[in-house]
Amino acid sequence: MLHAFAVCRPLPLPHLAEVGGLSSAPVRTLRVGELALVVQEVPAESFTEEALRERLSVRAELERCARAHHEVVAAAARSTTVVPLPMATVHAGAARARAAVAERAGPLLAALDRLEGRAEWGVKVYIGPPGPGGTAERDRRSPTGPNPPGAAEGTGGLAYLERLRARRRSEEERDSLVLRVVERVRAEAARVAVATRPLRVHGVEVTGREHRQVLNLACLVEAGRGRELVARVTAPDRRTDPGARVRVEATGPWVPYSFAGEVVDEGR
Amino acid sequence: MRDGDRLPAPGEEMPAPIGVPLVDLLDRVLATGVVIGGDIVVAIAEVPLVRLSLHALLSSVGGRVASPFGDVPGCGEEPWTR
Repeated sequence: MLHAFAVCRPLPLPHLAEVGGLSSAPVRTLRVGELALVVQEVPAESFTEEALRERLSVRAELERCARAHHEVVAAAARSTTVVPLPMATVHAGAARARAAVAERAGPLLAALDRLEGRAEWGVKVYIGPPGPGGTAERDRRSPTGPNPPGAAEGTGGLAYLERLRARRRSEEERDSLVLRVVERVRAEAARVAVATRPLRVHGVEVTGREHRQVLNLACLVEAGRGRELVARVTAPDRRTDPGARVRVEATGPWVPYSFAGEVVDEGR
Repeated sequence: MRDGDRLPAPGEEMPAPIGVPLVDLLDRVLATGVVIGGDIVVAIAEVPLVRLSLHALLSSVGGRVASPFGDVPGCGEEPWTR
């Protein structure tokens, strides 16, 4: 069985010698016309669909495989542009692997052209709880505000309604803040990025309850403009976010995983 | 506190992150990329059973996880500029 990691042009990839991949076999390339497939021989019994599914359901194993896969893809990408393949792409042998690449050679070459000299950056936006400078907090402390001291802590029907209203107001504030911030970050990213693609937003089980992720954006950026992107999206914006509830995180540069599929999929 | 406050000044090298956050890595190596016609392609994102267990797994993933490989190539450097 051959595990496939990435497709690139047939150039020397010296850094493949430094990575272990998913088995003890050497990571090597298969030449397929104008393309090369980065592969590794793996034991057939551990790479059946069932075995894979079982192993990847164990967190430590999932992490080991994901990092090993990424390590190989990144090692190839140190020498040339690559189209990364999803983890767990397995072929019955070299002939089958070659045929799979040859069948899609045109779109794969187009993907390589598109990705050349570009990197992926991740931009994640989180909204935290209202801070001491937040509007909701200011209202509560203001003697003339709609929520005078004492009222919110009361037990009567009026106090209850007041608490409901305050909560709704704070939720509305948060939603409107989210809309404005997401729009601003997307606009800033679009000024620098060649393309952007929203990824699945991480749930509270990853981010914690206090910080809700509201945007997980992949950005394809020309090499050398990554820092500009990071500076733009993470720049504090007191006008949109006076309470400093927003945190913007950038990761990268990544091998452009999130943009490898577009061109190739068009050929389907 | 925003990350922007910790950004290096222009011209400085961006500090290499300590490993790649696993959750960000999974976003990429599992859910995206190109599926070429392998004999078996476990398209994990499209298998409901596995997606469910992944979801449960992700609950323990959290933010930054130190990489067992130390500095992972491809993160914190732009390979094609060298």
